[in-house]
Amino acid sequence: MIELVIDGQALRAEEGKTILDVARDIGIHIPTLCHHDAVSPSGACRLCIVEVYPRGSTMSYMTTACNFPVEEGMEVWTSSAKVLESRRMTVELLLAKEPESKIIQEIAADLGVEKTPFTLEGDDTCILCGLCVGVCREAVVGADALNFITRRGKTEPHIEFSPDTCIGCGACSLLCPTGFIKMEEVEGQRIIWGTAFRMRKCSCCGSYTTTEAHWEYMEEKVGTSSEFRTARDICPACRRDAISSELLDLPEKSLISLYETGTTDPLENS
Amino acid sequence: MLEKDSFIQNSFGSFFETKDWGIEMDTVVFSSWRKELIDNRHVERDPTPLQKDSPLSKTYNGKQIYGMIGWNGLVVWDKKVGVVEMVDRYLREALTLSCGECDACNLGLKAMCQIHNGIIQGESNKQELEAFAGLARGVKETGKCNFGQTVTTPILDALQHYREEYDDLIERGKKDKGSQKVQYKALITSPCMDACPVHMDAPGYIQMVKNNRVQEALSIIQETCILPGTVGRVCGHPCEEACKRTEIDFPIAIRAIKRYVTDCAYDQNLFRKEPVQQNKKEKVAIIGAGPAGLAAAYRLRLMGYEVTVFEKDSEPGGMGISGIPDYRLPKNVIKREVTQIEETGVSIRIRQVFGKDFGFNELWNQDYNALFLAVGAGRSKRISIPGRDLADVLEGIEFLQDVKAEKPVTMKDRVVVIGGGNVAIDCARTALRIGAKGVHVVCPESRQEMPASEMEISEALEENVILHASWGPSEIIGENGRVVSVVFQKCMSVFDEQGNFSPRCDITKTTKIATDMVIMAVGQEPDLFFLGKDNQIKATNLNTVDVELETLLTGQEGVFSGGDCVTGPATLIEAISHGNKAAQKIDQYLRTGQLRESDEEKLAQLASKLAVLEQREIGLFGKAMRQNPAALSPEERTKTLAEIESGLTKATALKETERCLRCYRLLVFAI
Repeated sequence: MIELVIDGQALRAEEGKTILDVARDIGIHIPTLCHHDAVSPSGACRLCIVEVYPRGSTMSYMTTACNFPVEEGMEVWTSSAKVLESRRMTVELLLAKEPESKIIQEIAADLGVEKTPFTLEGDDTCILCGLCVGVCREAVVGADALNFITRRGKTEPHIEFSPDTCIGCGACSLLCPTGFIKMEEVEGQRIIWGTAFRMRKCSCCGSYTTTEAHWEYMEEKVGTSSEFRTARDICPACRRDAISSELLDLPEKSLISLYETGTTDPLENS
Repeated sequence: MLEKDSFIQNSFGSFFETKDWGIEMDTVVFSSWRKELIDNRHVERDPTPLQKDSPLSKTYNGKQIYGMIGWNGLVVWDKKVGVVEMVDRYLREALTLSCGECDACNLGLKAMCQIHNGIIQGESNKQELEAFAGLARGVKETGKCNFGQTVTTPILDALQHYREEYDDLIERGKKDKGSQKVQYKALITSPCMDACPVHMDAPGYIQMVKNNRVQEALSIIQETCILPGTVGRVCGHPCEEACKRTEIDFPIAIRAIKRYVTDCAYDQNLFRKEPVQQNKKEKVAIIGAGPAGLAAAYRLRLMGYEVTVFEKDSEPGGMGISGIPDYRLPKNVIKREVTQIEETGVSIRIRQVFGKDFGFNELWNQDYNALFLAVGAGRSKRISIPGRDLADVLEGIEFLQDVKAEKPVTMKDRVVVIGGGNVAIDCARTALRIGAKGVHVVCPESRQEMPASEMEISEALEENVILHASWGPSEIIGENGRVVSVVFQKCMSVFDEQGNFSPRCDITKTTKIATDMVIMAVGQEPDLFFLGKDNQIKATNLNTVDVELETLLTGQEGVFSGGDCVTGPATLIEAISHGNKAAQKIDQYLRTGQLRESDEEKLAQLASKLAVLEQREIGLFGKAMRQNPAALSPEERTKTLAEIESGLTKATALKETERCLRCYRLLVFAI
C-alpha cells in the first residue's frame, strides 16, 4: 500500500492505481474527456490535470491524474488555483474548436467558463482524444482498424480509418465523447466511418444483433461451439425468453430446438 | 506521407553571399538562455558578458547571428532583429512540431499563432495580448510531452522582457515593421538525436511506430542509417544514455524499437528499393564494403553517381557479416540490407584486395573521379609475450570469423581470453557456445575502464564467464608445444598521463591460470600496407589513415577516408556517420571542387554546443515500465549460437512508444 495525501486527506492506496482512480474512490470529482476504464489512459485531453508535490519536494508540478500511478508520500491537489486555471484554458480551447459539443459545454459550465476568448476552426467534432484508437487496438476489441496520425509536416493530426480491418463493432462510436463517430443502422446495414456492414438477424425474432464481420471476428477469437452458435443466431432477448419458458416447463422450448426450428416467437407455439 | 523536410531544411532565402564575421559570441544585447538573465539594452559601456561556462560564449566562426530563440530562452546579439518577429517565426515552426496528441499544445499553439499574427498586424487589443500570455503559461503547465512543456519558455521571456515592443503594437495599432535583411533558419534536435553520431530522428520514428506507420518509420531511419536492422541489434545506443526519461525511470528502448521497425518492414516486404537513375557522369570507387563504405555507396548512388564498391572478402558487410557472432547478429540481417543497397544500383565487387589486385593507378585509369577508403580495422594487434606462438593460441578476430563462416574450430575445455573489449567478450561467449567448459576473460583494464559495453559484460557474466580485471599477461606457458597455463601480473594502471594505452604492472604480484587454449583479443588496427606506394596518403602515429576530420579528405586530392581505418576500432554507427559524411563531402567536391563547411553545418554545430541535455526544468511524468524484448535465458543461450533477443512484439513496441517524452528542441536563428 502507498500512503499519500489528496486534497489534504491522508489515505492509503493500492500500488499501481492512478491518481484518478484513487481520487474517484474517495469521491473526488476530476473532469475527463479522454478517459474510459476499459482503455489505457493517454493523457490527451489534459482536463484531469492536478498539482503534485512529490515526496520531500517544496516545488509543485502539474501532471495528468489519469496516467500517473500514485507514489509514496506524494501530495496531490485536484482543484488548486493553478489546476483550475489550466483546466479553464483547456476547456476554452476545446470550446473554441467545438462550441456545439454538449459534453464540452457541460465541463465548461462546471468550471465556470461561459464563453471562450479564442477562435479556432472546428473542421469536425473530433477532439483527438484517442479513445476510439485505444478501444479498437487494445484487447477490448483488438481489430486495430484505427490509427492516430500525428502532425508531421503538412499532415494535420487526425484519426485514420482502415476499412480492411474494421469489423463494424461500433465500440469506437460508443466511446466517442463528442459524437464525432456516427453509427447508423438502416435496412440491415450498419454504417460507420462511411462504410456499410451487413448485420446478422436473430433467427427467432428477426431483430439485428451486430455485424456479420463482428461475429466472424469473434468466432475466429473464441472458436466455433454450440454456445457460440446460439449466441450468434439468437438475440439476448429471445434467449432470455427461451430460458424463462424452459423454467416454466413449457414443452419443446429449449434453446437448441428454437435454433433448429427458427421459430420467431418462443411463446407462439405453446 | 512524410513531410519532414518542411521544418528541417527550412531555409528562408539565400544568405551565402555575405561574408563571414567571425564574431565574439559573448557580447550580447540580451540573453535569458538557461535562465541566466543578461540585459545590456540600456548599457552604454562595459556590457555584462555571458557567464564563462555558458555554451554561448564560444567563438562561432560563421555568418553573423542577430538573434536566437529556443527551448532554453531568448538571445539577441544585435538590435537589428525584432524580437516580436522572431517570436512569430518561432511559433510557426513550433506548431509544425506539435504532434496533436494533446489538446493543450495542439490547440494552444494554434490559437497562439492566430493571436500573434493579429498582434503583428497591429489589430489586437490588450485583452488579446493577455490571452496570449495566458496561453503561453498554460501550454507550458498543461502540455503532455517535454516539447509542449518547454516550447513556450522563450515566448514567456519575450513577453516579460520585451513587453514594451508588444505594448507599442497594441497601443498604437501599428504593424510590426519587422527586421531589415534578416533571415530565419530553424533547426531541430533532441538529446537522443544529438548523442547519435548520425543524428537519427529517434522521436520521429518512435512517433511513426505509434502511428502504426512502419513504412514511414523505416524511411526516417534510413535517412541517416542504411543498415537499420543491423544497428537495431548491435548498436551501442548512445541515444539511450542521453534519454531524458532516465531521470524518471529508464530510457526508452530506442534500439529495440528500431529493430521492431525493420522486422516489421521485412515481414511486410517493405524492404525493397527501386533502382536509382544515374544522372551524374562522375564515378566513385569505394574500398571496403563495411558499414562506412556501404553508407557512402548508398548515399552517393541516391545522388545519382555511378558507384562501385571493392571488397576484399567473399561477402560484403564488413565486421557485421564476418565478425559479430550470430547470437547478436544473424547473418541474414545484414545480407538483406546489403541486397537493398545493391537494388539501388550500387555495384559490389568481391575478392578485390586494394593494393594487391588493383591500386590507385588502375582506378584513375578507369576514370574514377573520387575514392573513399573505408578498409576498417580488421587486423588483430599483436603483443609479444613468451609463448605467443604455441599451438592453441588463437587470434580473436580470426576465431570469430571462422566460427561465423562455420569453419570447423576445435574447442578445448578450458579457455583464457586476453582483452577487455567487445571482441574479447564476443570470443568468450562464442567459445562457451561451441563447447568450452570454462572461460576466463582477463584484461589489464580495471572493471570500470573496460572498453566492452556494459550489457555485453553483464550478459557474459550471466553465462558464467569468469572475469579478471586489472591483470596483464606476461607469459604463456606450454608443455610439448601445447598451452598449459598463462601467467599474469597485477596491473596498476593502463593509461599514461596523455591518456595513451601504456599498462604499468607490478611484477611482484602474479597469478597463473591453467588453460588449454588462449584467445588473444587485445585490439585491432587497420591494415594500411597500401599507403605511400603510389599515393601521398599518410598514416597517423596510431596507424590510422590521416585525414582532415571536417572533410575526411586524405593527403591526396579526390581521396577520402573514413570509418574504423580513420578512427581506429569504433562503433558501427560511427562508421555509418563517416560514410554519410563522406558521401556529402565527395558530392560537394565533385560538384564544386571545394570542401568549405557550409553555414548549415556551422549552425548545426553551434546548436549542438548549446547542450541540448540542458533544460530549465523538467516536468513530472508518471513512471512506466520499460518494455524489453524477449530474450533467451543464460542456460538456453549458451547451448546454441541462435540469436538471444527476439525483438519487441507489436503490443510491447506500441506500449514502449508511449513512454517517449518527445524532447524535441527547436531553435530559430535570425541571421
